[in-house]
Amino acid sequence: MTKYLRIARFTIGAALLAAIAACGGGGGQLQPVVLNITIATLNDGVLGVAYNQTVTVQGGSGAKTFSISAGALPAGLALNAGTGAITGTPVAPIGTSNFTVMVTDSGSTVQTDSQALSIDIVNPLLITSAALPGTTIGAAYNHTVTATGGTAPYTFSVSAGALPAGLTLTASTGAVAGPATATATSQNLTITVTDSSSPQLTATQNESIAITLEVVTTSLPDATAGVAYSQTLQARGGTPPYVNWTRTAGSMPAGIADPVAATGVVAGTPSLVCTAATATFTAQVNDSAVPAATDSQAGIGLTVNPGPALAITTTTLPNGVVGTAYDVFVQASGGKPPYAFSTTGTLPSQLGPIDGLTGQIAGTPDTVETRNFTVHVSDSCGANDSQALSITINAVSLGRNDSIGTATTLSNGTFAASISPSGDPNTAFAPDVDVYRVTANAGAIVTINVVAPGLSPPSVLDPVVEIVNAGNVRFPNNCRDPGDNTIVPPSPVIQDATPAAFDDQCVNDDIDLGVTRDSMLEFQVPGAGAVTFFVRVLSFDGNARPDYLYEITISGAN
Amino acid sequence: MKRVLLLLAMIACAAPAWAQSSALTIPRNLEQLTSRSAVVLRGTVISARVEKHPQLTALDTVVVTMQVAETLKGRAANAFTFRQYIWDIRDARNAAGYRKGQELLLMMIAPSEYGLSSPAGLEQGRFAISRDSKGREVAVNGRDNFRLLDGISAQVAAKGIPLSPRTASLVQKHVKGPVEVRDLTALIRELAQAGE
Amino acid sequence: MLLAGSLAGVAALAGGPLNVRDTGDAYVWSTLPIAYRTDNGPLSATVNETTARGRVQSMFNVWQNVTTSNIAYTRAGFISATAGFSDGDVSTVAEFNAIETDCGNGVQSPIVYDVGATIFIGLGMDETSIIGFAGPCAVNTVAPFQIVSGHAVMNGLFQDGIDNGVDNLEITAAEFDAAFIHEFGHFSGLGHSQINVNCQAFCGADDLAGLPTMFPVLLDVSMGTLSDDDRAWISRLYPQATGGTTFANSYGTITGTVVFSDGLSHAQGVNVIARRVDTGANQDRTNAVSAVSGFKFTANPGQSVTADYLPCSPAASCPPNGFADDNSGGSANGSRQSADIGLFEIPVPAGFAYTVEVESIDPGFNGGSRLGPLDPPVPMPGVAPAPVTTAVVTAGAAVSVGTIVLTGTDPRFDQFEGP
Repeated sequence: MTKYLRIARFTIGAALLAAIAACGGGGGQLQPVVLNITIATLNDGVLGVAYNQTVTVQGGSGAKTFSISAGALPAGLALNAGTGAITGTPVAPIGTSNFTVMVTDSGSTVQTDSQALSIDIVNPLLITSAALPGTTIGAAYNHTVTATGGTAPYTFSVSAGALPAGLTLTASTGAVAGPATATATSQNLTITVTDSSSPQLTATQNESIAITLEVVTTSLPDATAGVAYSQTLQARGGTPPYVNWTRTAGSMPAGIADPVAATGVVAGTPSLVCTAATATFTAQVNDSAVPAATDSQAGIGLTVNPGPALAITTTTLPNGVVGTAYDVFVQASGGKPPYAFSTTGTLPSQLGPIDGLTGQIAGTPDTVETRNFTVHVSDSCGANDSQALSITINAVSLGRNDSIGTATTLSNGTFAASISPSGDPNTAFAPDVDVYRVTANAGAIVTINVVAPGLSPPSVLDPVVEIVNAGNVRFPNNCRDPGDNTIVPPSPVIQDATPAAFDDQCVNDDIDLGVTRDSMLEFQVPGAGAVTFFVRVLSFDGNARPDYLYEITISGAN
Repeated sequence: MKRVLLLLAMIACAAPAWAQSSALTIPRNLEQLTSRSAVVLRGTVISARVEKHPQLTALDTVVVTMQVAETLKGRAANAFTFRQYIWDIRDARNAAGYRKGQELLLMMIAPSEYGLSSPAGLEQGRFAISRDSKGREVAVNGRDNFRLLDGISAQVAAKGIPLSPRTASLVQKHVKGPVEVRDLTALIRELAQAGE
Repeated sequence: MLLAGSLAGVAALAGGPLNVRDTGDAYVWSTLPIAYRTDNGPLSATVNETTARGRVQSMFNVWQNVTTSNIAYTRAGFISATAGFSDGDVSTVAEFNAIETDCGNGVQSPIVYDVGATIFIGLGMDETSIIGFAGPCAVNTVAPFQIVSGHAVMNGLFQDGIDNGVDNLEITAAEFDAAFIHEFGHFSGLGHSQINVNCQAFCGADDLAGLPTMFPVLLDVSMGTLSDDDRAWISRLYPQATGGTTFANSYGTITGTVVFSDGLSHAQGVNVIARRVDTGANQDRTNAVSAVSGFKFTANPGQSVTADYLPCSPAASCPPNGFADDNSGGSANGSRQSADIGLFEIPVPAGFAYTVEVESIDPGFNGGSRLGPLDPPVPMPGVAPAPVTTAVVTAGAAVSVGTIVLTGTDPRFDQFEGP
């Protein structure tokens, strides 16, 4: 076959032209390029897989003609004499076929070249091992991914997904080893094997390794009676999240709720107990696989220990004042109420006896004295405690509560009081004002109601109430006069345009026009957090005497 | 010569006079006060202000507005206002003793051509209402109801007004002191109706 | 400057002054004799002007005749003409208004006869029950804060000889005069007095004899005759200082303080009666003088807290500052010395020993019948102790019985306070 250097089909690069020109000296004729087979190796072929590779040459002139000059191509393949392409579909047997390819051009001086080549024919590469099995956390695991075909050696890898925690794949061997560790959960993945053919062959296999769902919790930490408790049941393996926690058998301790289905939280405040008590139950859980896996754990124990021991916490009692009401509560804590209080020894004159249920000691002492006595308390578990106490009754005064600095601290409740006389003694006329310190959270609505007892003839006191801050400045727009909602004041008194709003100044005289002897304010506490403010009670006429009796009722405070 | 008998005789003739701070009235019983009144009401004082009469500019008056809880005779709206002449200059300072919040039962005579009115019998027709130690509403006028119910028995009998046993007993026994409001108002209603 | 109406604020004070100044001293007339003018018309169809004039003078004479007092009255003539009134006979409300302008300005002190009760009817006053009224009209608003005018109006219906048993009743002349003797006591500056209060229920002769003319209720014509209490107080307010019989050489004073059970807190508004020690003639019932504890002290000191409570529109309608519930000024009357809160001072005829007792003011004595500084009266706290007996009180001397301690009162302090 005539071979041509088909100059027209490609562009002679400048370098080649220069080379040609240099070689040609300063003119003369072009010399012909040496014909050369440039390919040294050919790709492997795979049985049954179409093959196509071309013997490449350079140089020569004119058309080239290719031939097998020695040996033979693998069965199923053929050489195209005109193009040098080796094509076809290899058939058995596998193996290496060695052969020599010769090329002849068709220049005026015919050139030839030969090249010894070979083609390996191999089997297709396949993963032959079965799907990797599931496992349980901690269990031994040893399985190997195997492959055939292609050209060894193989290389194995996880090409998608991941192995469950704790399992590893050896790349050179395909071995998957464990055990799966505690955090392992079921996984879907893809394993790929690559051989050593040229070009390389690959094969893949999808795996789904299931990790057994397990309830891990076998017991819960102890709880203490009366103390808030919260623990979470644990599960592992399977496919999180774990759902549908339930108690399927046994019981929870009193005060502790069944596990929360969505979270497995076991919480509550255990009821008081006299001795430690353990409750056992069976917990069951599902995972989120489809279909869901289930596991349960029986015999989960939760022990509730008794709370703090019964103890009288009052170690000292305040002094009292002759002629002034005395009212205290001996405090006890722990154990299991109800409590029963009693005393041995003698209380101060006119005080007591101690209230068996509440520990209250009250009365109006009439004697200056100190009395030592013992308070005993027992609870419903039969526990006991005692505390030696004493009460000293003085003639020393409590002092006045007629200023911010000496205000009496009050919280919610109704308290009897009186506008005490002015001056002490009557050396100067200074009408008495009672000042009370109250604390409430910002935003709370505190109601202050001051009522003088209704008598016939009417009570001598006509009270006025005012709310001020620590600087003794009246709150200007934080109050509501309850009477504004129901009573329309007559002209010329200006009616409150917003009777329901807390925008009035904090002073009131006669909330209900039908009752002269009471005054009331609703106070919306401004500021932030816990706010301390002061309530001032005085008489409308500016007088003060011991029979200016009243009751002050507070609600909404801390 | 001062004799107890003379005293009693004088009382029977309604002759003895009752003092009022710088004003004197003869004693009137409830029937007489009811008869003299144009309006009898019970309510709460919601304002009392002293001002000169708009026409009689030398005269001090107190203008009182009551929130009416109950009308026992005549007609009164929810708010009842009257103007009362003040002749005692002390009363000009304290609004003749009317004060916001007072609960009163007033037996008011009809206003004059000058729009002035006052309680029948002055302090005798002005009752302060309060609550006794048992929480019962009681009324007492400016004379501690002294002899308020004297002669009532005969008067109601003459008019054919039946009294409940409770009221009849009260009328027979009462000399002075607070009277339960429910008894007083019931009696006033009966007397008012009988007078129509 | 004269200002009618500035005297008010404090209730009539028992057995003593009608009202007191901020010093605790009584308001008394600035000038003696007190000049009054009478109506130039009849009192009624049966009581002509001359008779009425004579009766009025007789009523004033009852007070004037107290020898230990220098109180004196003089009739200055008929009621003077003024704008809107010219004929001396006040017979319409319009004329009454005209002369009241004068009275309010301290120009004259009219005694008006209301024939047919025309004026009472026009003033909206129950003419069928009101016999009349009287009292001070104006005081000085600058020192020495004294009464400068007064007025009285008499209802002629009660003296017209007609008693129809319905709306035109009649009382005797003696009763009518007794009533106005009481009223002229107010006119002169006296308040009410409570002695032998049992007389409202049962009054023996001795009790009746001791019943003051200034008792809030006129129970008997005999009350037209002054009692020891009336004489003592008119003498104290207007003491006779010259001549053989003076207030100073005829009277002593019993003083003391009424206190609560704590022995410290003064109790205002308790009636205190000094009764002459009985020597067998029931002098303790017939000879007694009273005072109310704290009669000098204000009933209403005031407070500033409600100064801006309940605004009014227009502001001028709620004096002084435009707020309806403003009590920042309190009462202009009465002292604010704390030593006066429970103090009593009783002028008593000298030369006798007295028992001093305390009692509640009758609850019925309120409003127009008020007695003492507190209106309504406050029940005496606790229980009265046994009466105290003094030594013989000498003339010009002040005998102190110290503190009268009431028992069983509310404690001085509540549960939150102490001394």
